[in-house]
Amino acid sequence: MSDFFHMGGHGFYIWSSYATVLVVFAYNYFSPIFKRKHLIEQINAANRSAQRGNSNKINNGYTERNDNNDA
Amino acid sequence: MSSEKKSTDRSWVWFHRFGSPAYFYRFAERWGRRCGIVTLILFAVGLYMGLVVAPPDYQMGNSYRIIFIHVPSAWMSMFTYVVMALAAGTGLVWRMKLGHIVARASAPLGAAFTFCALVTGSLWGKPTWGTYWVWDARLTSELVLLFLYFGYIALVNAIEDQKSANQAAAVLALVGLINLPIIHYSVEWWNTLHQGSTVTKLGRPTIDMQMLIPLLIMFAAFNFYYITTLFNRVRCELIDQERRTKWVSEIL
Repeated sequence: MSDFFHMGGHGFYIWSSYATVLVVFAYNYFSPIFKRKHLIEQINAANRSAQRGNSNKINNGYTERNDNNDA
Repeated sequence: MSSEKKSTDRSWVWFHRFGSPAYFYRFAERWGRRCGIVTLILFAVGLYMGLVVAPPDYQMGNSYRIIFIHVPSAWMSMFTYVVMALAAGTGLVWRMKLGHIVARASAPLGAAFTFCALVTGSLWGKPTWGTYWVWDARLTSELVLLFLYFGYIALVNAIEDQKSANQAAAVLALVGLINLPIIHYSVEWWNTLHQGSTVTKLGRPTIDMQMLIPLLIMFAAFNFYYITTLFNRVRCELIDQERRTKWVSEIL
């Protein structure tokens, strides 16, 4: 088993390569998932406050989009 | 121009349905999940075969095992750029907003692949060439690719008006395509430390089957990973931009 981590003296290079890729890939996989959850919460909160009738005061800084069927 | 006329003009295009954000969101949700499962399986098999089963290289010893992540990273860094440039170009020419969304979602992934290719390459270079970095053609052109991604991301974020931001960034992405053949042929055009192609060499690849099979599995894993994360990012962008529309309120 320790042979496996030692990799004939190249362990440092191999495992730091694999660790870099692992960290970068994990970050890129999870960040849009968390961002989506955050966005959905934000939109739901904005919708709730809109229902309470104070949408003019709180609109999270987003302006109404001009919906031109531009696909 | 009325929207009705536009949609009849486009109806002959087979992918016109993908122009609909709601349709694409559901498509990305369904296929993103499936691709995620395939990605996990491919990584498990590929890593096991590459790190455990494959024998050491007769010249490089074990350090060659970096190939299983280095070459797919480098390949994906270029493949993602092609996807990004073509998607941005589609957005620019046919005014398909989804094209720009795919391009914007691809840029950080492409930058990540390029970063991985550079880091793993330099960690492979140290035991093999004796140095982490040399300013030779292959390494430098790959670094330029990283800056092209950064440039695209910076440009998209720098221009306030989203439409002009998309258009300007699309032009940059298309111009940057010129870098791809430079990266690919750099090992042939210039004298370089970097070794030539071993897999894509026409005829027979100069790599042993026990090493080629895990490498091909890792290629597939990286591709599926890209599709999975791309779909996740596209979904984010779609919700963000379409937050005022009916279909978004329906899926929340």
